[in-house]
Amino acid sequence: MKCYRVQQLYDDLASGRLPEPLSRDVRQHLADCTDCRVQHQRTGRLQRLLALKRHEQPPAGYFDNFLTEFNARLDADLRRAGFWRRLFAAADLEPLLSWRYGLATAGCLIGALGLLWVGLGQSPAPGSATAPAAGGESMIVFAPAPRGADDDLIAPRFELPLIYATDVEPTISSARVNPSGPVVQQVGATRYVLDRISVTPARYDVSSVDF
Amino acid sequence: MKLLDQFRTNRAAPARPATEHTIELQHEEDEALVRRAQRGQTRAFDLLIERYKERLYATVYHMTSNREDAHDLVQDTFIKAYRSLGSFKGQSSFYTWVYRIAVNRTINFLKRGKNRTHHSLDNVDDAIQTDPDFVELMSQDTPRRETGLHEQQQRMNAALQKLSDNHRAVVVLHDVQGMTHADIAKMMKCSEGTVRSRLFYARQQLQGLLSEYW
Repeated sequence: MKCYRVQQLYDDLASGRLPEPLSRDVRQHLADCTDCRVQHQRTGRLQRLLALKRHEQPPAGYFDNFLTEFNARLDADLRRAGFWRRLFAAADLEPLLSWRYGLATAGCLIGALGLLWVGLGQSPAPGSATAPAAGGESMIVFAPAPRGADDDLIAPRFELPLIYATDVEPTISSARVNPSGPVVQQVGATRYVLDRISVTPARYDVSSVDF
Repeated sequence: MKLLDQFRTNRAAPARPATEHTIELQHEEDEALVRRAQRGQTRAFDLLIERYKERLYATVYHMTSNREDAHDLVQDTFIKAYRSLGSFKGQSSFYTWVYRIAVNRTINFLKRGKNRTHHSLDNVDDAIQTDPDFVELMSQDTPRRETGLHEQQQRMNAALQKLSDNHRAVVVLHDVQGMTHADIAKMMKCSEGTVRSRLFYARQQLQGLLSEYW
């Protein structure tokens, strides 16, 4: 047997909990190995020395007021406790307090999911990317940002692609797009209808620089 | 405030003298007392305190080597137990449950470093003079024969305080309190192998610290 393994079994050997074959092996090892034998003897002495600590006793009458003090402390503890703890204690719902953080987190999650659900369930407002087509089919409309008179301003113009919804009829259903035909169909003066969502990269324009 | 008043009225029980009902309760098992306490019979919980306060105190005292700290910690333990009584399902005995609270609170207390630095030791009772272990230790030809009992106690406690909290806990629970490895493992929520390993290293360290005794 390995020395380390034997050293782990000192307590079981002393208390007689080891099965006989194992106990015999451990004793044999202790007889053969001087280091382990010395170690075993020292452990035994140390245990006897530690066991003497049981004779350390508090002075007589030390626990006489223990219960009174306990009640006073409990009373003070309850005074310090907030309203909710007192309420929970009175209603025997104390275990819930230990779950309060979990419950609060779960509540927040459910609330967030609820909000998300409500947000997704709303009908698309003007400005959203999709709108029901006249025939009940969805369509995707892209329109360039309106450009006005300030196109000629000196300041550089940073344009983000804007996606507009349309509430006008000229639409093209994705199901009715002819691949060989024109993909983009003009709707009105400045509106285009696309057959797919396409986000064009941002453009950085300097239309004119005047000094 | 009404709730608080109601609570105070309920807790006023200990001041009253022992009645026949109390005497009846004293013969009840822990489980029955716990059930009564869970139903609001505070006297039942008082009896549980009476039953286990000294054993809990001994454990905590051996871990802290300070009488005042031990007293405070045992009080805190029972307050915590009383407040958590509703969550006690009886999966272990009441004593194991409250013992675990006491040991964990003591370990946390020691980790926070709020313990008093000086030792405040209990007296050694006279029964030690007839203890076979003591007689054997004194009969051996080592320097401890010349060491006074009080000094020996001081050295032992000082050596114990040099151990880490977990090592001290397993030594106290096993070698002083006589608990089994399995019970200690359950209490400290670790494996039996860990308990054995901690015991081994703690004893090694103690043997080094108390080398004059070998």
